[in-house]
Amino acid sequence: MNRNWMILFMLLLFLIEGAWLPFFIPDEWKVRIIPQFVFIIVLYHAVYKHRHTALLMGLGFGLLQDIVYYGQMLGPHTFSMGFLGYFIGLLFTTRNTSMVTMMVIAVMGSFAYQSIVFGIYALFSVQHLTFKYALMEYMLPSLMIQLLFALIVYVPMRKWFDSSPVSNTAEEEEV
Amino acid sequence: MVCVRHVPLTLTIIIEPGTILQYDEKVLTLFKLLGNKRLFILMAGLILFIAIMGFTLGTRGNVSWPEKFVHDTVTFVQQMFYKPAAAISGFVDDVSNLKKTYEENERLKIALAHYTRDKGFYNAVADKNKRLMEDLKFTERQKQSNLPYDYRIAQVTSINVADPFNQTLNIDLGEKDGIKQGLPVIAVEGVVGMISRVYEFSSTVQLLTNLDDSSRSIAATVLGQEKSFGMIESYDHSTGTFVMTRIAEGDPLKEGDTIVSSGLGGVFPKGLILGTVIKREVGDFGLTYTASIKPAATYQDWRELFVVVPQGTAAGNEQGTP
Repeated sequence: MNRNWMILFMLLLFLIEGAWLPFFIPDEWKVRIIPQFVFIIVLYHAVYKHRHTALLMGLGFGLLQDIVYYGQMLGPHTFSMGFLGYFIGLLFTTRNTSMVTMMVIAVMGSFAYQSIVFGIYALFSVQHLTFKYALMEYMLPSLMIQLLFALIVYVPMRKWFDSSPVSNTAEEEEV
Repeated sequence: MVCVRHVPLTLTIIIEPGTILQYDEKVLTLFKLLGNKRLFILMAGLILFIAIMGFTLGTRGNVSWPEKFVHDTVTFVQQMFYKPAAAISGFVDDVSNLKKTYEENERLKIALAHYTRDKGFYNAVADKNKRLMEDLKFTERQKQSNLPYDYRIAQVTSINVADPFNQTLNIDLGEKDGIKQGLPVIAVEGVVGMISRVYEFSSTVQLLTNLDDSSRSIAATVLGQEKSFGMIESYDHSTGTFVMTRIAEGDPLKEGDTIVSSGLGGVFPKGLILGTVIKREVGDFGLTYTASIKPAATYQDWRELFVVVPQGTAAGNEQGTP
């Protein structure tokens, strides 16, 4: 039941991202701020829940992002969200990560996410920007917004995860 | 894995014996972290995803029904969120623009006077043109290429803000409304993009700001001087302008000219406003000229867009994404 509510919340976040955020971002920053809020929630799942949950959520919502805004190709978001959700879940297995660490994870995770997407588009020669330009142009400003969102949802997310019991599977012990 | 371990072994004999332990530990921690099974799954996933991306890249026939279902459902719900937000934002804009209404009214009155004056002349020319086409025995296809276009009004349902290289937005017209892949989409000011994917009740518009060297370029010309020719090839992110290339040396194109699509490339019909020339300079090899074009569309405040559909048979040219 708890998980269903979470999925509904993320779905709502995804819908709002496409429908409301364009009005909130000032026109001059349209190309500079790339909010990826659903990914932050995936990172929270990776750190405070379980990496498999994060993998599934990442794959699911990445695929949703890919299908709904299908311009060039399917897959970049599915791959990077799923992979990073799993990988960060693998690195941080303790369930009581502090707030500062979580913020660092949010920023580094978002940076990795943007870099992977950048790399995939460069690989398929969809874009030809230099990484340095992309970094200064939109990655750094976006990371600020990502950090801000991660801070805003920190307390509600911790409460949410504390209220729901974490199931330690056998595989968890193995790591 | 075996090979990887053997290489440093031979190397360390030459350098010093301590390094072998370090290297081995590094390799071991990597494998411990990922595990053999996991690494295998990761590699398989990587290959699978690269295959998926490769298959779905660029032109594709029809999208599959699960995609249609998901896209139609999601954009339908998003529209319910988008509409009130757009209404509120529009109201705020209108209030702040209230002062300019008087000036705008003046300007529109002058424009209207121009139109009424030109209308009589236009009708005569259009009649003559039609008669000449009959006399010269134009085929149906040739006639159709000269017909004006139908504009289908479309509401924006959502905008992609989460991906800088895939700037798309969704509109509420789809296959059922006769929308085809590759049709141009315009705002009041000028061309915005083209339809990249068509679903049952909705479609995705790829913005022209995604235009890159590798994509299909648009044949363009100067408004009023149709012998001018150039190709709009890419969008320069750092300056926010289109790059128009292959302009001949004796071309009349100059700063301040309005650039419209010429219809020669087959991607875009002719006469759609693309932007204004802000700079003309010698191109890469010194043989042709290059111009910077400031886009006519503002790429902000998305409300209504128009899909340009050829008149008569609603058959769009089966072109791919830009």
